[in-house]
Amino acid sequence: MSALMYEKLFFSSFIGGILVALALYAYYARKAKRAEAEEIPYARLGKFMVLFSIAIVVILTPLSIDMTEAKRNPSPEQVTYNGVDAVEGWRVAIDYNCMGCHTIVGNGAYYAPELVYSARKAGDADKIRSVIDAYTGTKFMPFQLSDRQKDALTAWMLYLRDLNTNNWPPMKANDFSFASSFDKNTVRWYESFDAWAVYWVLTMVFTVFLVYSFLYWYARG
Amino acid sequence: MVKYQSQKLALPFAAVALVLFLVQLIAGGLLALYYISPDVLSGIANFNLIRAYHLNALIFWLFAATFAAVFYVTPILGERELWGQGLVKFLAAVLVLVVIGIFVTLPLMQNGSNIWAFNQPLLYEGKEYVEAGRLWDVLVFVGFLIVALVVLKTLPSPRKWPLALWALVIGAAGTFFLYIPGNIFFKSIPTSEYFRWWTVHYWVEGSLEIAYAGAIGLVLMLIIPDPRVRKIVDKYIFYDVVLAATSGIIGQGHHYFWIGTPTFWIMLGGVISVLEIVPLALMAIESLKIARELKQPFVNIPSLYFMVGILIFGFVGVSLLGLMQTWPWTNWWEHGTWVTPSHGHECMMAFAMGAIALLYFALPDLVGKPIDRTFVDWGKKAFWFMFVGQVILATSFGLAGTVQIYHYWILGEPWQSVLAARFPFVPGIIIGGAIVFVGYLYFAASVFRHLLFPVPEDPYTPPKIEKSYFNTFKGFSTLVVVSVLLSLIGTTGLWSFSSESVLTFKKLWIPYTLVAVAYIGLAITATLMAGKLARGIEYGHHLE
Repeated sequence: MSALMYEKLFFSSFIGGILVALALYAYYARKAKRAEAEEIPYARLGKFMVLFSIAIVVILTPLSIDMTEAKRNPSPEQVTYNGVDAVEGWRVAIDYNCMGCHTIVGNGAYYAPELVYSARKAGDADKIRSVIDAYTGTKFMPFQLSDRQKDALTAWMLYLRDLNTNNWPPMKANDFSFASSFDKNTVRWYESFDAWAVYWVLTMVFTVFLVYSFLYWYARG
Repeated sequence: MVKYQSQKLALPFAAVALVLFLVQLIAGGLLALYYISPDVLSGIANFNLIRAYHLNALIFWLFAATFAAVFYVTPILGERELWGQGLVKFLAAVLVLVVIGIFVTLPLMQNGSNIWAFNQPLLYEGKEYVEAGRLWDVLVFVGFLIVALVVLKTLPSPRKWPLALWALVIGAAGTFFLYIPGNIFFKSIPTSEYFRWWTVHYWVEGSLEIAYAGAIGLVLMLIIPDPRVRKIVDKYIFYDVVLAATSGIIGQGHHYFWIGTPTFWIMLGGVISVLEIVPLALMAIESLKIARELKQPFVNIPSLYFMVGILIFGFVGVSLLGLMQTWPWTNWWEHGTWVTPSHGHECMMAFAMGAIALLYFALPDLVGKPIDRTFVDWGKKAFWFMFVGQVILATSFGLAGTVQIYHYWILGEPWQSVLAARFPFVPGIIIGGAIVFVGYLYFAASVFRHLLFPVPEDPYTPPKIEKSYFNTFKGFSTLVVVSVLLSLIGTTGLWSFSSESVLTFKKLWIPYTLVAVAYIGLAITATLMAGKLARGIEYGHHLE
């Protein structure tokens, strides 16, 4: 699926949904004028839509967290440095609350560099390890780490580096675009073009429902 | 004076909320200090510790204020004294214990001395928003059970509940259950982040929103005991909950664009989270309709102002600043920069104002003193200082974040240069924060004055003032439309980073100007809207 295809799908569903809602609204408004319109069973429809969206999230959760065969991301147990794995590194990161200064995949405190970005910029394990060495015990990271902890953090940074983050963060290496990530991700059936047809219909349905509700409620108070 | 003595049990919770709010503001000030001089506190109280205080103080003062509101309202609705008053006192003790426990154990992160059992961290959890340790989470669970038990035992059969009460109860219960997924330790970062957002996003977009919609509905119903009001409020809550839930549940996807989760979230989360603006826009317009329809003067003016604050921050801060950054094309650039906290701070202020509105609403009744002139004056000042301060702070964050995008992502500068590029905006954040702090002083002073000192007996009546653009609803809908357009201008600004003009020809004025117009414009329209709505109702201009 090309990048352009993705933009077409996004906006056709969004704008199409708004247009369908407007058309539906115009149709019902004319009917209402002739006093033929039936009251829309909003109580039932609303409850259904809420349950429907919960169901979608429940269905998509196992796909999102790599519980299927074709995994998107490396397993943290298998990424190691000097015999220490990335899970131990994540535990060290929790123990020192790294997220309280850094961001990890963009989430955190913005006081210190983004770790996925730093790992990708550094490139290889020894460079990552040397950066950790350089900053530990300074005013920026005012605490001491054992060699094993530093190895663990290095393994964890390697794991972060190899996450499939749809090309984020923006770098020259990925042409400052997330679009090319779509092509390499279509190998999984739920990210393939066929599956996107389903997502297109889903977003269309939600757009029609929400925009129509807005118009309907605004008109009727 | 209060009708039921047990309502007074709300007071200790309100006191805890006031103290924690102060802690949160002081922590915020210390975080700003780090940007001016990183040497002062480094090694004594590290940035991550203070930030954990900043977030956890917020979470727990919102809990405390909500508990206070629940214990104030429940006897009125149940028409009898609270069931299990001993338990409520016990809960107050548990809350204080938990807060102290959290604040004492968090500093352990400075030398990494956590305890792990069953592959889970116990003393603190090292993830944003859910730093509080597992031991304390268990006590929070006990606390919520007590609240649930007391409320259910006091109220009549659920069949007679108005929808607003259902919303409050479901929202409060949801807030607790959603606290669980974010706390669990997962080995994989995408999984860990996936479930952490269940806590954070579903709190603000789901349970807290529903609970506060319910609480405001109940307040309206208590002020005006008219069956017509109950009908209006019921309808309003139903739509609000349905639309917020349908857009918010899948709108969660905007947190799943870049954390290692599949591309379908870019489609689902992208389109549907753009539509999260629908329920909040409706809320803004609907509130005007309700105000016009009620045809009653509003007595508790400070509470009114803060309710307007929820609405305006909800519309401008939550939905419009959110809209600017929720499109995948803009989120790609702003994710991980200071553009995000500009939205986050206005979101959280909406909830903070909700809690303050509830405290102000209950206070005169709880202490049995009238709403006098000084109370109203100080309350209004508290509102305006907090509102304007937070708007300045959020605007500074947004502008600094835009500069950061260029320096950090496009130029790929080292972190020290990025900090230097953001630095010119730090004074804006500090000034904004200081103004919010002045607002807090007015808020706390008005509360303590009412609690401790005698108050003149004559209640405040708003003076007759000349109608003008600034105190009527005239042109409010236009402002709503203008604000939406401004946020689309900001969207274009953030998106323009992808264009050749910026990437190749370095025409930086394009994104910078567009984003500046959007942020400053939204700051102005937000202030105008808040003034028109609050003053319009205060001076009774909605009655004609």
